Amino acid sequence: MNNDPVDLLIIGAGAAGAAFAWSMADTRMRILCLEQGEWMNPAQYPSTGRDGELRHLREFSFNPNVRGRATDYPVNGSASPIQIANFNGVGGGTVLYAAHFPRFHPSDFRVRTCDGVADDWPVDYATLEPFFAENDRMMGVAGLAGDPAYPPKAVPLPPVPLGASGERLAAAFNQLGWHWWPSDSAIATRPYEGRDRCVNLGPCTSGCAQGAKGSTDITYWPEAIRRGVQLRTRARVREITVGADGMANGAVYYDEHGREQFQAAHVVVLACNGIGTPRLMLNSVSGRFPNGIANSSGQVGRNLMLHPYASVMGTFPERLDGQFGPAGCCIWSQEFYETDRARGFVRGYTMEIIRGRGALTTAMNGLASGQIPWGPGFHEAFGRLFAHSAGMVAILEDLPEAHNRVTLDPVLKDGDGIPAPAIHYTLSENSRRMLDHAVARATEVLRAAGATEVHAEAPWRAAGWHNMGTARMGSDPARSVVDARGRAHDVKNLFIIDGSIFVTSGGVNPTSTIQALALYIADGMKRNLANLFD
Amino acid sequence: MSDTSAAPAAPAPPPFTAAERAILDALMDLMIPASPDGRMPSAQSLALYAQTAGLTAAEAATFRGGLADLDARAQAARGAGFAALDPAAAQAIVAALRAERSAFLHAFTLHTAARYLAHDAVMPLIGLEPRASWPRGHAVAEGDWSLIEVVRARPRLYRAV
Ligand SMILES: Cc1cc2nc3c(=O)[nH]c(=O)nc-3n(C[C@H](O)[C@H](O)[C@H](O)COP(=O)(O)OP(=O)(O)OC[C@H]3O[C@@H](n4cnc5c(N)ncnc54)[C@H](O)[C@@H]3O)c2cc1C
Ligand code: SF4
Repeated sequence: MNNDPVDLLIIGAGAAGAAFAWSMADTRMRILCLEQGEWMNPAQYPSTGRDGELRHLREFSFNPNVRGRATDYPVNGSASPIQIANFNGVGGGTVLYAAHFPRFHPSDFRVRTCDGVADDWPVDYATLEPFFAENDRMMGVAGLAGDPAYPPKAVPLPPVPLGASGERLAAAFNQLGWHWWPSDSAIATRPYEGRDRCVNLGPCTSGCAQGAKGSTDITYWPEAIRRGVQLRTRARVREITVGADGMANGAVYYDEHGREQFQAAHVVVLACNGIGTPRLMLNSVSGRFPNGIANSSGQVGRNLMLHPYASVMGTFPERLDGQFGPAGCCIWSQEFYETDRARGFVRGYTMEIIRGRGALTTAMNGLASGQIPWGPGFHEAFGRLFAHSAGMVAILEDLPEAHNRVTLDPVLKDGDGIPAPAIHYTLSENSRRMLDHAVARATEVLRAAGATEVHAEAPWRAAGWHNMGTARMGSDPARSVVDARGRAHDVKNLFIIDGSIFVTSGGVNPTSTIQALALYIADGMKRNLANLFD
Repeated sequence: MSDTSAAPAAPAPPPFTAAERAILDALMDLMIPASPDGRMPSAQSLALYAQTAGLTAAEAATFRGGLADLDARAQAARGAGFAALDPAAAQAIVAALRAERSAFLHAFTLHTAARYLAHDAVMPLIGLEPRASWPRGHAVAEGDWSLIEVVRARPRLYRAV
């Protein structure tokens, strides 16, 4: 193993790590990324076989504890009503994500100013706008310009089709006078930059065999590697080390044979996601940082935001065939996005239409919820639901609360013996009220669309896929972990670029904003290379 | 290219014994019998567990342990093997497993539903072509985009800050 020192060491090859590596490749620095997982082979994704849905629920499960790959780390979720979902490999969570690609709104960066809660961000929408646009081009975003819920923006590709489910729900939103718009989706609806067009395989959340979905293993990484970045897989980092000068000087990691290695570096960048990053920081204990690296504020791991979801599905008399087409990407509504205190809560949520669900998922969900019985009634109940269901998820803005946090589990460890994260999370009263509101409004629109039955799960237990806030940005070192440029207040050459640094969570999926922020931090670093450690 | 997405390359676990298959048949008859109108076949009639391919070694072990446990429960309650129980007695044992959140019952339900719904004989009956999704994919209608005009005409919804 060649562990020669590098200029820039990135840990984590997911959404943020890939965008950052690609941008920093301009500098011609020696850049290395350590990633605990492996490269994926799209020819082996579940949709290439008849057993695709079964594989989706097992080795491609969202839940790392169910998936249990050697490249995963376990997560103790027993103290949380929402279970952590992720993927560990080149591309990170984007391998399994649904590719919904909304940006944060201008007000999302000004929550205290607008609504008197949480904190404002030290950056704003206008500053990030060029990086959102650059990222949309790199990820290949489909959508439609002109959405009144957003400032004007260009969209590189035409929108995903409405399909029968989208058309029905769009008409119902119109009937109620509520906003809807085709979802911004990182999905190639036309051939794009070497990627083939979407052929409507169905659940994008088990990997896209067609290569139409913008996961960073096929967007940023090939470009970054071509430009000289090195990516080392099966390299699981145990801790960031610090020198006598208090600066980070490298990382201890385990290679694929479980052998301990040390990689020296001049600058260390963390991109392990909102759970993996605080876990690594808390595991990086030294004389100087007895509570974990860059944790003099005690904020590392705190303020965990998960975006509670309401999942509300309706059953329709006619066949919609929503099992085909990008399941998660169709249309969305931001009618209830901005604060209206008359609703009984602050902030808001996005409704994202789910076209439908595959046969096995329909059966398993129905059997679990009691909608489908064992016995002679199985067929009638299954037939009523399968290909006849459409609905939505509501994504709620989750406000930061110090007691919602990631700690190290005293017992649970990964395959290399590294302490695993434990999640401590409770729903706030604000979120509870928002969930009730979202379920009621979703039911209303589904009924308007003609649903004969409506079934809700709120919060949706499996939906802990947006992990934010656990090493937050801010100007006050006593209340935050990194500054406005992603640099740790306590360690001048340690940067964090993933969702951990979010100050608040918005009410939309975070990846577009995570990556725009990573590109913005890279840009700042490039402009300031000569004085990086001042 | 290394690859964690490949299906497990391990050989299929040893086949189920005749006694194990008899219990599986009885369970399948409880879960997915033929439809009352005869249109949909029963899971048992499709011999879904004639092969163990698709089960990991750990899942096969869960199955074997669960089947033995079912028989033991049946013997204790009725002095007969599970396959010989009348449906009501068998249902009672399944209900107990459900209440205990049995890992075996979950694995059985998952694999039975998966094998049944992806079976050549069943897919056309639920409106699906008997093939994998990729590479041919599926057609999805564009839908009526004129619906958007009323939304496009709305005033700005986002807050200026
Ligand atoms: C099923 C699912 C659906 C989703 N759908 C959407 C969606 O539609 N839209 C959206 O915006 N977001 C979605 N997400 C969330 C999205 O995937 C994440 O927001 C995004 O991937 C986070 O980017 P990241 O770079 O912070 O972390 P990740 O993409 O999670 O990458 C982190 C990487 O770090 C690696 N790593 C962690 N710890 C270590 C270590 N100690 N050593 C070495 N490597 C390490 C991991 O293996 C991983 O590859 C979804 C996620 C899931 C799981
Ligand atoms: S629906 Fe489209 S983007 Fe999603 S997995 Fe299928 S081909 Fe890929």
